[in-house]
Amino acid sequence: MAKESINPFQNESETLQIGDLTIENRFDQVSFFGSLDITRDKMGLGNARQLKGILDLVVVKLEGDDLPDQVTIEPTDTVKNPFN
Amino acid sequence: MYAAEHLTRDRLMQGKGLKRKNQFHPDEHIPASDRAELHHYARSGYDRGHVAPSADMFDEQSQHECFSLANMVPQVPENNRGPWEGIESAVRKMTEKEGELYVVTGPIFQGENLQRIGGAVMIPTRLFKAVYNPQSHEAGAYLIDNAADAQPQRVSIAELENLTGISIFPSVSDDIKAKGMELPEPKSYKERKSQGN
Repeated sequence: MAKESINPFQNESETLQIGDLTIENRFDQVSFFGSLDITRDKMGLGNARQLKGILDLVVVKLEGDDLPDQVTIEPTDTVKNPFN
Repeated sequence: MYAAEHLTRDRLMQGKGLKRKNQFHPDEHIPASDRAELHHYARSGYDRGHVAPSADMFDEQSQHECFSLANMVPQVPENNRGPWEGIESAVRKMTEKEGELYVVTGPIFQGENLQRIGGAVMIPTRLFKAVYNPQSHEAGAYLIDNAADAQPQRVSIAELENLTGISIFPSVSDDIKAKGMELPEPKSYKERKSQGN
């Protein structure tokens, strides 16, 4: 079975779980959070390959882009609290 | 606005091993003028924080629906991935122990002004997760600032209702709401692992 992956930086929707590791795709970042044990068994190899597949795509995408020094965050705006 | 769940030990068991790939999506049931869109969150620096957590879901449909943006609030990443995850996990653990719990989770918007992302989605100042145990007839809530270094507080339902102006567990008596309960201390992933659970 082909391992599920993401299309890095191309959408804000895809999310994957590998063990307790969460991967979320965003336009300006790919987030990895949680925890994953790569165990020295068949499942560990499967998880390691899947993670590597995703990271390889991330690297290829970044290498092919014209990158800024740092991503910019859109500032928030302020509104009156409508719940008061 | 809040999410209400009836968590049971059986459903949590049933939810293990659900499909691993999901899609965040806008909620088409909400008029376009009122709903959050993916682009509102883009480049905001905020997580799409689940109100009802994905790990509570018990089938493909509930899992899909929980990735609706109607179930998301802009959450500070360190909070979402740290102490908030600890609260979510503590409530699941408590469900496994007690058999079933009613859980109400929601954002709190306090103060004169609020910050918005994407010119549309307001950032909650705090989050709560209220729990009712129908076996022991006890209720209480976790409360936490939507901030990186926040520590969860444990409060009574009466205190929470006072703060939010929402009636939480409307059919639960005022006595139970005023009394509070001993909620387990939320633990980080690392602490849980090192204790073998």
